[in-house]
Amino acid sequence: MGRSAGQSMVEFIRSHGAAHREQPAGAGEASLARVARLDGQANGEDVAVVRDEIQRAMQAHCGVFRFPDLLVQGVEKIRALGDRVARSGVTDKSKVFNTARIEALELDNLYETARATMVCAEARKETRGAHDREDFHARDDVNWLKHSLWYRDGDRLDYKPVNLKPLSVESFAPKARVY
Amino acid sequence: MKFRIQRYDPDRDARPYFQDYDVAMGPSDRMLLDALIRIKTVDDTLSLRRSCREGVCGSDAMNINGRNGLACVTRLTDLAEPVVIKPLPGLPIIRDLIVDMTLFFDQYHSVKPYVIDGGPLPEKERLQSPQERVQLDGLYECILCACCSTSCPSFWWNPDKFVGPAGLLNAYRFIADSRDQAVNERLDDLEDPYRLFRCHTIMNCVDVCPKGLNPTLAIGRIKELLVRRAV
Repeated sequence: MGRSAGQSMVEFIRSHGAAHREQPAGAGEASLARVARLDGQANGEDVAVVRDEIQRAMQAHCGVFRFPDLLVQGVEKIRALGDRVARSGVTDKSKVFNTARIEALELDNLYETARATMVCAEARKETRGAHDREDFHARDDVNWLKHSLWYRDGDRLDYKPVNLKPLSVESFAPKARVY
Repeated sequence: MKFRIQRYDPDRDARPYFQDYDVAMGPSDRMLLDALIRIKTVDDTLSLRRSCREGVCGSDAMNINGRNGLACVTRLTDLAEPVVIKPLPGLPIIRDLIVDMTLFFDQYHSVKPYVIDGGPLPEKERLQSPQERVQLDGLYECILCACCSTSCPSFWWNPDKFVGPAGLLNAYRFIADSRDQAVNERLDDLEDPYRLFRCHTIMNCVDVCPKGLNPTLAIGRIKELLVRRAV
Protein backbone atom coordinates (compact mmCIF):
# COMPACT_ATOMS: atom_id res chain seq x y z
CA MET A 1 0.00 0.00 0.00
CA GLY A 2 1.16 3.49 -0.73
CA ARG A 3 3.12 1.81 -3.49
CA SER A 4 1.93 4.17 -6.16
CA ALA A 5 2.70 7.24 -4.00
CA GLY A 6 6.14 5.83 -3.21
CA GLN A 7 6.90 5.17 -6.86
CA SER A 8 5.84 8.72 -7.78
CA MET A 9 8.13 10.13 -5.08
CA VAL A 10 11.09 8.09 -6.32
CA GLU A 11 10.43 9.27 -9.87
CA PHE A 12 10.11 12.91 -8.73
CA ILE A 13 13.35 12.80 -6.75
CA ARG A 14 15.20 11.16 -9.66
CA SER A 15 14.03 13.77 -12.16
CA HIS A 16 14.53 16.78 -9.86
CA GLY A 17 17.86 15.84 -8.34
CA ALA A 18 18.11 14.64 -4.78
CA ALA A 19 18.10 17.85 -2.76
CA HIS A 20 16.85 16.20 0.41
CA ARG A 21 18.75 15.90 3.67
CA GLU A 22 20.75 12.81 4.42
CA GLN A 23 18.48 10.40 6.28
CA PRO A 24 19.67 8.92 9.58
CA ALA A 25 20.40 5.21 9.52
CA GLY A 26 17.22 3.18 9.99
CA ALA A 27 14.93 6.10 9.09
CA GLY A 28 12.20 3.74 7.90
CA GLU A 29 12.40 1.36 10.86
CA ALA A 30 9.58 2.93 12.86
CA SER A 31 7.17 2.63 9.92
CA LEU A 32 8.14 -0.97 9.23
CA ALA A 33 7.78 -1.77 12.93
CA ARG A 34 4.15 -0.59 12.84
CA VAL A 35 3.40 -2.95 9.96
CA ALA A 36 5.34 -5.80 11.57
CA ARG A 37 3.41 -5.32 14.82
CA LEU A 38 0.12 -5.68 12.92
CA ASP A 39 1.28 -8.74 10.99
CA GLY A 40 2.49 -10.44 14.18
CA GLN A 41 -0.48 -9.46 16.36
CA ALA A 42 -2.40 -12.58 17.39
CA ASN A 43 -6.00 -12.30 18.65
CA GLY A 44 -5.94 -8.52 18.38
CA GLU A 45 -9.12 -6.60 19.15
CA ASP A 46 -11.07 -5.57 16.04
CA VAL A 47 -9.95 -2.24 14.61
CA ALA A 48 -13.60 -1.36 13.90
CA VAL A 49 -14.55 -1.88 17.58
CA VAL A 50 -11.73 0.29 18.95
CA ARG A 51 -12.39 2.96 16.32
CA ASP A 52 -16.03 3.06 17.35
CA GLU A 53 -15.00 3.54 21.01
CA ILE A 54 -12.76 6.48 20.07
CA GLN A 55 -15.54 8.04 18.02
CA ARG A 56 -18.06 7.65 20.82
CA ALA A 57 -15.66 9.13 23.39
CA MET A 58 -15.00 12.15 21.20
CA GLN A 59 -18.69 12.63 20.44
CA ALA A 60 -19.73 12.41 24.09
CA HIS A 61 -16.87 14.37 25.68
CA CYS A 62 -15.41 16.70 23.08
CA GLY A 63 -18.19 18.09 20.89
CA VAL A 64 -18.50 21.79 20.06
CA PHE A 65 -20.07 22.57 23.46
CA ARG A 66 -17.58 21.45 26.09
CA PHE A 67 -18.10 20.92 29.80
CA PRO A 68 -15.25 20.85 32.35
CA ASP A 69 -16.22 17.59 34.05
CA LEU A 70 -16.87 15.82 30.73
CA LEU A 71 -13.51 16.97 29.39
CA VAL A 72 -11.64 15.65 32.46
CA GLN A 73 -13.46 12.30 32.15
CA GLY A 74 -12.82 12.33 28.39
CA VAL A 75 -9.07 12.68 28.87
CA GLU A 76 -9.13 9.61 31.15
CA LYS A 77 -11.29 7.67 28.71
CA ILE A 78 -9.06 8.42 25.73
CA ARG A 79 -5.90 7.60 27.72
CA ALA A 80 -7.42 4.27 28.75
CA LEU A 81 -8.02 3.39 25.10
CA GLY A 82 -4.28 3.58 24.34
CA ASP A 83 -3.61 -0.03 25.32
CA ARG A 84 -6.51 -1.26 23.22
CA VAL A 85 -5.24 0.66 20.18
CA ALA A 86 -1.78 -0.84 20.71
CA ARG A 87 -3.25 -4.36 20.85
CA SER A 88 -5.71 -3.97 17.96
CA GLY A 89 -5.27 -6.30 15.04
CA VAL A 90 -6.52 -7.46 11.67
CA THR A 91 -7.33 -10.94 10.43
CA ASP A 92 -6.37 -9.95 6.90
CA LYS A 93 -2.62 -10.50 6.50
CA SER A 94 -2.63 -10.41 2.67
CA LYS A 95 0.05 -8.43 0.84
CA VAL A 96 -2.40 -7.48 -1.93
CA PHE A 97 -4.43 -4.27 -1.54
CA ASN A 98 -4.98 -4.89 2.16
CA THR A 99 -7.45 -2.17 3.15
CA ALA A 100 -7.86 -3.70 6.62
CA ARG A 101 -4.19 -2.93 7.24
CA ILE A 102 -4.68 0.65 6.01
CA GLU A 103 -7.58 1.09 8.41
CA ALA A 104 -5.47 -0.30 11.26
CA LEU A 105 -2.66 2.17 10.51
CA GLU A 106 -5.26 4.94 10.29
CA LEU A 107 -6.51 3.91 13.72
CA ASP A 108 -3.10 4.81 15.22
CA ASN A 109 -3.32 8.24 13.60
CA LEU A 110 -6.96 8.70 14.60
CA TYR A 111 -6.10 7.85 18.19
CA GLU A 112 -3.25 10.37 18.42
CA THR A 113 -5.40 13.07 16.83
CA ALA A 114 -8.24 12.34 19.24
CA ARG A 115 -5.93 12.37 22.24
CA ALA A 116 -4.27 15.64 21.18
CA THR A 117 -7.69 17.23 20.67
CA MET A 118 -9.06 16.09 24.00
CA VAL A 119 -5.99 17.03 26.07
CA CYS A 120 -5.64 20.46 24.42
CA ALA A 121 -9.38 21.16 24.82
CA GLU A 122 -9.32 20.27 28.50
CA ALA A 123 -6.37 22.61 29.07
CA ARG A 124 -7.71 25.57 27.07
CA LYS A 125 -9.70 27.61 29.60
CA GLU A 126 -11.58 29.88 27.21
CA THR A 127 -14.12 29.78 24.38
CA ARG A 128 -12.77 30.13 20.84
CA GLY A 129 -14.49 29.21 17.59
CA ALA A 130 -15.76 25.63 17.72
CA HIS A 131 -14.29 25.19 21.21
CA ASP A 132 -17.19 26.48 23.32
CA ARG A 133 -16.58 25.94 27.03
CA GLU A 134 -19.50 26.04 29.40
CA ASP A 135 -17.28 27.29 32.27
CA PHE A 136 -15.34 29.93 30.27
CA HIS A 137 -17.81 31.58 27.95
CA ALA A 138 -15.58 34.39 26.72
CA ARG A 139 -12.73 34.47 24.30
CA ASP A 140 -9.51 35.30 26.13
CA ASP A 141 -6.88 36.87 23.85
CA VAL A 142 -4.66 37.85 26.78
CA ASN A 143 -3.94 34.29 27.88
CA TRP A 144 -5.00 32.07 25.01
CA LEU A 145 -4.12 33.75 21.72
CA LYS A 146 -1.65 30.93 21.04
CA HIS A 147 -1.41 27.56 19.32
CA SER A 148 -1.50 24.40 21.43
CA LEU A 149 1.28 21.87 20.84
CA TRP A 150 0.74 18.33 22.10
CA TYR A 151 3.52 15.84 22.72
CA ARG A 152 2.80 12.13 23.00
CA ASP A 153 5.20 11.54 25.88
CA GLY A 154 3.16 12.14 29.02
CA ASP A 155 0.55 14.27 27.19
CA ARG A 156 2.90 17.23 27.60
CA LEU A 157 1.56 20.55 26.29
CA ASP A 158 3.46 23.49 24.93
CA TYR A 159 2.30 26.65 23.19
CA LYS A 160 3.57 28.83 20.40
CA PRO A 161 2.55 32.34 19.40
CA VAL A 162 0.16 33.02 16.54
CA ASN A 163 1.83 34.70 13.55
CA LEU A 164 -0.03 38.00 13.20
CA LYS A 165 2.13 39.35 10.36
CA PRO A 166 0.79 38.32 6.96
CA LEU A 167 3.36 38.48 4.15
CA SER A 168 1.48 40.42 1.50
CA VAL A 169 -1.46 42.28 3.09
CA GLU A 170 -1.98 44.76 5.92
CA SER A 171 -2.39 43.09 9.26
CA PHE A 172 -5.15 44.03 11.70
CA ALA A 173 -5.48 43.34 15.38
CA PRO A 174 -7.40 40.16 16.22
CA LYS A 175 -10.76 40.68 17.86
CA ALA A 176 -13.80 38.63 18.80
CA ARG A 177 -16.26 37.87 16.03
CA VAL A 178 -19.66 39.22 16.93
CA TYR A 179 -22.71 38.25 14.91
CA MET B 1 -29.85 -8.12 4.71
CA LYS B 2 -28.44 -10.66 2.26
CA PHE B 3 -25.47 -10.02 0.00
CA ARG B 4 -23.55 -12.18 -2.46
CA ILE B 5 -20.15 -10.66 -3.08
CA GLN B 6 -17.49 -11.73 -5.54
CA ARG B 7 -14.21 -12.43 -3.73
CA TYR B 8 -10.71 -12.93 -5.09
CA ASP B 9 -7.30 -12.72 -3.44
CA PRO B 10 -4.57 -13.70 -5.89
CA ASP B 11 -2.41 -14.97 -3.00
CA ARG B 12 -5.04 -17.47 -1.86
CA ASP B 13 -7.53 -18.14 -4.60
CA ALA B 14 -7.12 -19.89 -7.94
CA ARG B 15 -10.19 -18.08 -9.28
CA PRO B 16 -12.88 -15.68 -8.09
CA TYR B 17 -15.82 -17.09 -6.11
CA PHE B 18 -18.96 -15.75 -4.46
CA GLN B 19 -19.31 -15.34 -0.70
CA ASP B 20 -22.68 -14.93 0.98
CA TYR B 21 -23.20 -12.48 3.83
CA ASP B 22 -26.28 -11.97 5.96
CA VAL B 23 -25.71 -8.86 8.07
CA ALA B 24 -28.15 -6.85 10.20
CA MET B 25 -28.23 -3.23 9.11
CA GLY B 26 -27.99 -0.39 11.63
CA PRO B 27 -30.52 2.43 11.89
CA SER B 28 -28.26 4.85 10.02
CA ASP B 29 -27.42 2.49 7.14
CA ARG B 30 -29.01 4.06 4.05
CA MET B 31 -26.73 3.38 1.14
CA LEU B 32 -25.00 0.28 -0.19
CA LEU B 33 -21.65 1.69 0.95
CA ASP B 34 -22.93 1.82 4.55
CA ALA B 35 -23.77 -1.88 4.22
CA LEU B 36 -20.35 -2.74 2.77
CA ILE B 37 -18.58 -0.86 5.57
CA ARG B 38 -20.73 -2.81 8.05
CA ILE B 39 -19.82 -6.08 6.34
CA LYS B 40 -16.17 -5.07 6.62
CA THR B 41 -16.53 -4.81 10.41
CA VAL B 42 -17.58 -8.48 10.35
CA ASP B 43 -15.04 -9.63 7.76
CA ASP B 44 -12.10 -7.25 7.43
CA THR B 45 -10.66 -9.23 4.50
CA LEU B 46 -13.26 -7.76 2.10
CA SER B 47 -11.41 -5.15 0.05
CA LEU B 48 -12.99 -2.23 -1.75
CA ARG B 49 -12.09 1.32 -2.65
CA ARG B 50 -14.10 4.11 -1.05
CA SER B 51 -13.37 7.64 0.09
CA CYS B 52 -15.84 10.54 0.10
CA ARG B 53 -18.99 8.41 0.63
CA GLU B 54 -21.14 10.96 -1.23
CA GLY B 55 -20.76 10.40 -4.97
CA VAL B 56 -17.99 12.92 -5.52
CA CYS B 57 -14.73 10.98 -5.57
CA GLY B 58 -15.77 8.10 -7.83
CA SER B 59 -13.86 5.44 -5.86
CA ASP B 60 -16.60 2.93 -5.05
CA ALA B 61 -17.84 2.09 -8.54
CA MET B 62 -18.87 -1.57 -8.77
CA ASN B 63 -21.35 -3.85 -10.47
CA ILE B 64 -24.51 -3.96 -8.35
CA ASN B 65 -27.22 -6.48 -9.26
CA GLY B 66 -25.89 -6.43 -12.80
CA ARG B 67 -25.60 -2.66 -13.24
CA ASN B 68 -22.57 -0.48 -12.73
CA GLY B 69 -23.02 2.18 -10.08
CA LEU B 70 -21.53 3.93 -7.08
CA ALA B 71 -22.19 2.07 -3.82
CA CYS B 72 -22.39 5.36 -1.88
CA VAL B 73 -25.33 6.75 -3.86
CA THR B 74 -27.21 3.48 -4.31
CA ARG B 75 -30.10 3.19 -1.83
CA LEU B 76 -30.41 -0.12 0.00
CA THR B 77 -34.21 0.05 -0.27
CA ASP B 78 -33.94 0.02 -4.07
CA LEU B 79 -32.00 -3.26 -4.16
CA ALA B 80 -33.43 -6.77 -4.57
CA GLU B 81 -31.92 -9.42 -2.28
CA PRO B 82 -29.54 -11.06 -2.31
CA VAL B 83 -27.63 -8.04 -3.55
CA VAL B 84 -25.09 -9.43 -6.00
CA ILE B 85 -21.94 -7.34 -6.04
CA LYS B 86 -19.08 -7.79 -8.49
CA PRO B 87 -16.09 -5.68 -9.48
CA LEU B 88 -16.44 -3.43 -12.53
CA PRO B 89 -16.52 -5.68 -15.62
CA GLY B 90 -13.81 -5.77 -18.27
CA LEU B 91 -10.79 -4.64 -16.24
CA PRO B 92 -8.26 -6.95 -14.54
CA ILE B 93 -9.19 -7.73 -10.94
CA ILE B 94 -6.53 -6.88 -8.37
CA ARG B 95 -8.49 -8.17 -5.41
CA ASP B 96 -12.16 -8.56 -4.42
CA LEU B 97 -13.97 -5.42 -5.71
CA ILE B 98 -10.78 -3.61 -6.70
CA VAL B 99 -9.89 -3.51 -10.39
CA ASP B 100 -6.76 -2.29 -12.14
CA MET B 101 -7.78 1.08 -13.63
CA THR B 102 -4.57 1.55 -15.65
CA LEU B 103 -6.20 0.96 -19.07
CA PHE B 104 -9.03 3.32 -18.16
CA PHE B 105 -6.74 6.14 -17.04
CA ASP B 106 -4.33 5.60 -19.96
CA GLN B 107 -7.24 6.29 -22.31
CA TYR B 108 -8.31 9.32 -20.26
CA HIS B 109 -4.80 10.80 -20.35
CA SER B 110 -4.51 10.07 -24.08
CA VAL B 111 -7.08 12.79 -24.89
CA LYS B 112 -4.91 15.45 -23.18
CA PRO B 113 -7.58 16.45 -20.67
CA TYR B 114 -6.36 19.99 -20.09
CA VAL B 115 -6.65 23.35 -21.85
CA ILE B 116 -4.04 23.69 -24.58
CA ASP B 117 -3.20 27.29 -25.40
CA GLY B 118 -0.13 27.79 -27.57
CA GLY B 119 0.20 31.48 -26.76
CA PRO B 120 2.17 33.12 -23.95
CA LEU B 121 0.82 32.89 -20.43
CA PRO B 122 -1.74 35.65 -19.85
CA GLU B 123 -1.24 38.00 -16.90
CA LYS B 124 -4.66 37.24 -15.48
CA GLU B 125 -7.18 34.39 -15.80
CA ARG B 126 -8.43 33.25 -19.19
CA LEU B 127 -11.96 34.57 -19.05
CA GLN B 128 -15.11 32.98 -20.47
CA SER B 129 -18.50 34.55 -21.07
CA PRO B 130 -21.47 32.90 -19.33
CA GLN B 131 -22.55 31.62 -22.77
CA GLU B 132 -19.14 30.01 -23.33
CA ARG B 133 -19.10 28.55 -19.86
CA VAL B 134 -22.52 26.93 -20.23
CA GLN B 135 -21.16 24.85 -23.12
CA LEU B 136 -19.25 22.81 -20.53
CA ASP B 137 -22.31 21.84 -18.49
CA GLY B 138 -22.94 18.11 -18.64
CA LEU B 139 -19.27 17.56 -19.45
CA TYR B 140 -17.14 18.89 -16.60
CA GLU B 141 -19.08 16.98 -13.92
CA CYS B 142 -17.45 13.62 -14.81
CA ILE B 143 -15.81 12.06 -11.74
CA LEU B 144 -13.92 9.34 -13.65
CA CYS B 145 -15.54 6.50 -11.72
CA ALA B 146 -15.38 4.28 -14.85
CA CYS B 147 -18.98 3.05 -14.54
CA CYS B 148 -19.58 4.02 -18.18
CA SER B 149 -16.45 2.71 -19.86
CA THR B 150 -16.64 -0.63 -18.03
CA SER B 151 -20.28 -1.09 -19.10
CA CYS B 152 -19.40 -0.52 -22.77
CA PRO B 153 -19.02 -3.67 -24.90
CA SER B 154 -16.76 -1.78 -27.32
CA PHE B 155 -14.46 -0.85 -24.42
CA TRP B 156 -14.47 -4.46 -23.16
CA TRP B 157 -13.33 -5.53 -26.62
CA ASN B 158 -10.67 -2.85 -27.25
CA PRO B 159 -9.73 -1.15 -23.99
CA ASP B 160 -6.24 -0.52 -25.36
CA LYS B 161 -7.42 1.16 -28.58
CA PHE B 162 -10.91 2.62 -28.00
CA VAL B 163 -10.88 5.77 -25.86
CA GLY B 164 -14.20 4.79 -24.29
CA PRO B 165 -17.15 6.95 -23.16
CA ALA B 166 -15.41 8.60 -20.19
CA GLY B 167 -12.34 9.53 -22.24
CA LEU B 168 -14.43 10.81 -25.15
CA LEU B 169 -16.72 12.84 -22.89
CA ASN B 170 -13.61 14.50 -21.49
CA ALA B 171 -12.16 14.96 -24.99
CA TYR B 172 -15.31 16.85 -25.99
CA ARG B 173 -15.17 18.83 -22.74
CA PHE B 174 -11.94 20.45 -24.01
CA ILE B 175 -13.05 20.63 -27.66
CA ALA B 176 -16.06 22.63 -26.43
CA ASP B 177 -13.92 24.89 -24.24
CA SER B 178 -13.63 28.43 -25.67
CA ARG B 179 -10.18 28.77 -24.11
CA ASP B 180 -8.73 25.75 -25.90
CA GLN B 181 -6.68 26.39 -29.06
CA ALA B 182 -6.09 22.79 -30.15
CA VAL B 183 -9.48 21.71 -31.52
CA ASN B 184 -8.09 20.59 -34.87
CA GLU B 185 -5.28 18.56 -33.31
CA ARG B 186 -7.80 16.96 -30.96
CA LEU B 187 -10.08 16.04 -33.88
CA ASP B 188 -7.10 14.67 -35.86
CA ASP B 189 -6.22 12.47 -32.91
CA LEU B 190 -9.75 11.09 -32.61
CA GLU B 191 -10.40 10.55 -36.34
CA ASP B 192 -9.52 6.88 -36.11
CA PRO B 193 -11.43 3.62 -36.60
CA TYR B 194 -10.66 2.63 -33.02
CA ARG B 195 -10.17 5.72 -30.87
CA LEU B 196 -13.57 7.28 -31.69
CA PHE B 197 -15.45 5.11 -34.16
CA ARG B 198 -15.69 1.99 -32.00
CA CYS B 199 -18.63 3.79 -30.39
CA HIS B 200 -21.71 2.12 -31.86
CA THR B 201 -24.20 4.15 -29.79
CA ILE B 202 -25.02 1.24 -27.52
CA MET B 203 -25.71 3.82 -24.79
CA ASN B 204 -24.93 1.63 -21.79
CA CYS B 205 -22.78 4.58 -20.69
CA VAL B 206 -25.79 6.89 -20.53
CA ASP B 207 -27.78 4.25 -18.72
CA VAL B 208 -25.31 3.80 -15.85
CA CYS B 209 -23.70 7.23 -15.36
CA PRO B 210 -24.22 8.05 -11.65
CA LYS B 211 -23.89 11.77 -12.41
CA GLY B 212 -26.59 11.67 -15.10
CA LEU B 213 -24.20 12.62 -17.92
CA ASN B 214 -24.56 11.67 -21.58
CA PRO B 215 -21.28 10.48 -23.14
CA THR B 216 -23.09 9.29 -26.29
CA LEU B 217 -24.28 12.86 -26.97
CA ALA B 218 -20.73 14.18 -26.53
CA ILE B 219 -19.41 11.50 -28.89
CA GLY B 220 -22.13 12.45 -31.42
CA ARG B 221 -20.99 16.09 -31.23
CA ILE B 222 -17.40 15.05 -31.96
CA LYS B 223 -18.55 13.01 -34.97
CA GLU B 224 -20.60 16.00 -36.14
CA LEU B 225 -17.55 18.28 -35.93
CA LEU B 226 -15.54 15.78 -37.97
CA VAL B 227 -18.22 15.76 -40.69
CA ARG B 228 -18.49 19.55 -40.68
CA ARG B 229 -14.80 20.11 -41.16
CA ALA B 230 -14.70 17.53 -43.98
CA VAL B 231 -17.41 19.12 -46.13
